[in-house]
Amino acid sequence: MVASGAALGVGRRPWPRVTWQRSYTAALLAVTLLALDVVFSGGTFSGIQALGITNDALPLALAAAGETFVVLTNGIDLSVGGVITLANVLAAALAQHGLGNEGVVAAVALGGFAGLVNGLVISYARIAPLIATLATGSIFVGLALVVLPLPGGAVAGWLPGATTGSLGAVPVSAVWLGLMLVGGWALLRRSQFGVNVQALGGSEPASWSAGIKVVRVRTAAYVASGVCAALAGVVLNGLTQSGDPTIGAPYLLDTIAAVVIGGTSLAGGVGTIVGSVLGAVVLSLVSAVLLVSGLSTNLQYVISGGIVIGVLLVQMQLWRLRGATGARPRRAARGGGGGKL
Amino acid sequence: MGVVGVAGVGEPLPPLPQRSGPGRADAVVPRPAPGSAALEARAISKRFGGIQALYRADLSVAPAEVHAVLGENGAGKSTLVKIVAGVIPLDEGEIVVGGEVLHLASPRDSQAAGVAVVYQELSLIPELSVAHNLLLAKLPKRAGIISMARANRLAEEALAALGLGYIDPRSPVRGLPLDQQQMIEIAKATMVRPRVLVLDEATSSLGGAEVERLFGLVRSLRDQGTTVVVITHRMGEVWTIADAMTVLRDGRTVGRFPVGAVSQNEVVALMAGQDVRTIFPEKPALGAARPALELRDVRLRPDRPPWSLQVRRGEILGLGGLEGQGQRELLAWLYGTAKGTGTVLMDGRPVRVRRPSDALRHGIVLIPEDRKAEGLHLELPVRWNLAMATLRRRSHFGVIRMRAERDFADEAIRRLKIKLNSPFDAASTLSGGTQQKVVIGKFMAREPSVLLFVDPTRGIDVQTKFGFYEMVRDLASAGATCLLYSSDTEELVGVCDRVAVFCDGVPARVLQGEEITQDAVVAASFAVVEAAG
Ligand SMILES: Nc1ncnc2c1ncn2[C@@H]1O[C@H](COP(=O)(O)OP(=O)(O)OP(=O)(O)O)[C@@H](O)[C@H]1O
Ligand SMILES: [Mg+2]
Repeated sequence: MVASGAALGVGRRPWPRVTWQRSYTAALLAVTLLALDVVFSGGTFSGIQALGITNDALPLALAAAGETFVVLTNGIDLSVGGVITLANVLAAALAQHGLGNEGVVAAVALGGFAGLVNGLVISYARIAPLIATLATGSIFVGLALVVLPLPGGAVAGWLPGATTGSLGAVPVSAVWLGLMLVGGWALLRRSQFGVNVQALGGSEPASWSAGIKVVRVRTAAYVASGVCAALAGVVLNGLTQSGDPTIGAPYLLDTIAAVVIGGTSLAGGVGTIVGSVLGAVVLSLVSAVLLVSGLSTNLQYVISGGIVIGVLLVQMQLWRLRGATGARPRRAARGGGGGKL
Repeated sequence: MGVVGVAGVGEPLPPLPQRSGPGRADAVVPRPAPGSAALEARAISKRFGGIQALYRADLSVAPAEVHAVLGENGAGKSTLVKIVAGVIPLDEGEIVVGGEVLHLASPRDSQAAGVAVVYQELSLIPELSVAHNLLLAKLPKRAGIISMARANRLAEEALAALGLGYIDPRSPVRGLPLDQQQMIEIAKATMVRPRVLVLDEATSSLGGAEVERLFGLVRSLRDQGTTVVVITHRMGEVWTIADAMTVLRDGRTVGRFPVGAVSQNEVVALMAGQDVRTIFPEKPALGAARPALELRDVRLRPDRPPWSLQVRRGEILGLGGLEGQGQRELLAWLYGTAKGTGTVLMDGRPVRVRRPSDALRHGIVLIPEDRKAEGLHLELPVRWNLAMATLRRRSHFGVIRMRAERDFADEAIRRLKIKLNSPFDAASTLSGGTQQKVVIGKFMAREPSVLLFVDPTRGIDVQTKFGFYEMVRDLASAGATCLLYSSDTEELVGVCDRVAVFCDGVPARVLQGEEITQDAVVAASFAVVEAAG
C-alpha cells in the first residue's frame, strides 16, 4: 500500500500559501503604520489623510508592480526612474499643445517601447540587466531633458480627476490600488504569462526545456515594467498637473524597496504583485506617520532603509524555520517506498 | 529478469566488434536501415569549444523498442539526448522521428514531434508547485484563465498513475526529496503520452522499489507502442528492461546489439575501450579493531526509540533499507546539517558537531549527493574546485602556492580519470558523472578519518565506480571509518563490511559477513518496515 497523503502532508504547506506568506510582512507593516498614523493624529483618520497616503502610494505602486515582473524573472529594471520622467514630461508637453489624450497614449506607448528596448538589449546583446537598464535609464532621463528642460507643461483635462479625485468618500487612487491588487493576483496566478515569468526566474534551463519561449517572456516582463512606469509618470502628471524632468529620480530606489518589502525574492521565481503594492503603501505610510508625529520627515529615508533590512531579516528567518522543519517530509514507515507490500 | 526478446528490430544486428583499442570498432557500426526506425540520429557531430562531444554518432531505435544507450562518463550520451530534444543545436547530422527529418530550433519542436525527455540534471522549477511543474507550458485554461483546480486534478491523476498518490500537487517542489523530484520528472514526461520517451539516467536517484515501478511503466508504454530510450550506468538494468543497446565511446557509436547477444563484461569493455576489472575489492577481516566511531542513544526522529551503534576503525558500514528511512538524516546529523539527539564518540572521546565546520575540524567529511548545490562551484575552474577544500595546506601565510596547487589538482585529475579539456574548464561544462568525480576528489583531499558518503556513485560509470570502490577500501584500510548510504543494493553488498538496514530513523537490523547478500538486504529492507507496521 502506498502511504496515505495525510501522513505525508504533515508540515508541508501548499504552494499558494507559501507564496502568500512572503507578503504577510508587508501587510503587517501597513496595518501597524496605519495604526500609528491614527494614534499620532489623535485617534482620527480623515478622508484627507487617506487621500494623501493613497495618492502618494499610487505612482510608486504602479512602478513597483511593473518591476515585480522583471524581478520575478531574476532580472532588474533600473530604468524605471528614467521612464517615469520621460512619460511624465511627454504627457505634460503634449498637453501644453492641446494634445492631452494623445500625450497620455504616447507616454504609455513610449514606456512600452522603452521596455522593449531593455528586453531586447538584455536578451540578444546579453548585457546584464543591471548595466543595461542603468544605461537606458540614463538615456531616458537625457531625452526627458530635451523634451522639457524645466518643470512646466500642462495636463489632460480629465487626468487630475482620474487620479486625485474621490468617489464619494473613497479616493480614486485607493480604487486604483484596489484594482491593482486584484489584477496583480490574477496576472500572476491565473495567466500563463504570470506563470511563465515565475518559471523563468525559478530556472531558465528548466523553462526552456519545458517549451517556454524564454526570450519572449523576458522581453514581455520588461515591456510590462516600462508600461507600468510610464503609467506612474502619467499619474504624476495628473497629480501635479504639470511635468518635471527630475520627478522620476527618487522613484528608482523606492520602487526596488517596495518590491523587496513586498516579499519578492531578488533572486527571482517567487513573489507577488500584491506584496509590491503593499510595499508601496508602507513606504507612503512611513512619510505620512512622520508628518503627523511631528518628527522630521527627513528621517523618512533612514526608516525606509531600516524597514527594507528588517523585512529581509524576517524573511530569511522564516525561510530558515521552514527549512528546518519542512525540508524532508517523512515517508510513513508503513509501506514507505511503494506498492510492493 | 529474463532477457526481453528483440521483436520489432527490423534489421539484422552486427556481430560484436572485436575487442580492441579505440578506433578499430568504428568500422563495424551499422548504418541503420532508413525509414524503419521510430527515432534516428544520423551522423551527429557536436563540438563544445575544444571538446568534440559527438563525432558522427548514430542511433537508431525501432518502434516500440526499449533501447539502452551506454557509455562512460563524458561519452556524449546526454549531449545526444539534448540534441534530440532540441535543447542544444547540432553541428552536423540529422534527427529523424517517425520518418520525418526534424528541424529543431527549440524543445518545442521536438515536443511537437512527440518526443519527451527526462533530463539527467533535474529540470524542475523549485519555487513552483508540483502541478505547475507537470503542466508548465500547458496549464489548463478557460478563456485564457488558468484553472488551478483542473490543473491540480490532472496532476493528481498523473501522479496516481505512477503510484505517487501521496504527493500533493499543490506543494512546492523545493524541499521534496530527490527521489520524489525524479519521479515527478518522469510523470511530467510520460503524462503527455509521447511517441518517443527518453530517460537520461532517470533511475540514478531512485531506490529499488521505485525503479521497479518505473520499469513497469516503461513496459506498459512499450506495449502501447511507445519507443523508449534509456540511459543508465547500472548494467543490471539494461538486461532487465532493454531490448537492444547502442554503445558510445568518445562521442562515437561503437556498437549496436540486441540485449541477448552480448555479455555485460563485453559491453563494459567496449565502453571503456579496454578490459575493465569489475570485481569488488576484497573485504579484510576486521577482527577486534577498536570502535572509532560510537553513536549512543541516537534519536533522528523524536517519536522513535533511541539506538546505539559502533563502527570500527577501517570499517565500511553500509546504510541500507528503503528510501527515506533516515539514512540520509543520520549522515546529515553527523555532519551537523540536520537535527537529531544523541552522543557521538570518536576514539572514545565525545565530540560535538553542530555545524559542518565542527565536523571538518574533527576529520569528518561528507560527500554530498546533490553535487550542483552542495559540492561544486559551478562557474569556477575544475582545478580550483579540487583545491578548494584544502587550500591552507598549500599556502604560505595565506598566499596560495600555485605550483603546489597545480600538482595537487593534476594528481587528482589523473587518479580519478577526470575527463576534461583543460583544468581551467568551468565545472559546469563537465558531464554529470565527471562533476561527481570532482566533488569526490575535493573532499578526499582532506584525508579525513570519518567519511560519510551519500549515494556517492550516482551517475558514475562502471570503470570509475570500481576505481572508487578501491579508493574507499584503501582509505578504510589506511584507518578511515566509512559510512556509506547507497540506493544501489549491489554496491552495499559488494563494498560494505556490515549493512545497517534502516526503518523510520532506526537501524532495525545489522547484517554482517556472509549474511550480506543482495536478496538478504532487500528482504530485510521490507521485513523491518513490515515488522514496524
Ligand atoms: N555546455 C558544455 N560546454 C562544454 N563542454 C560540454 C558541455 N556539455 C558537455 N560538454 C562536454 O561534452 C562531453 C560529453 O558530455 P555528456 O554530458 O554528453 O556526457 P555523458 O555521456 O552524458 O556523461 P555522463 O555519464 O557523465 O552523464 C564531455 O566531455 C563534456 O565535458
Ligand atoms: Mg550524461
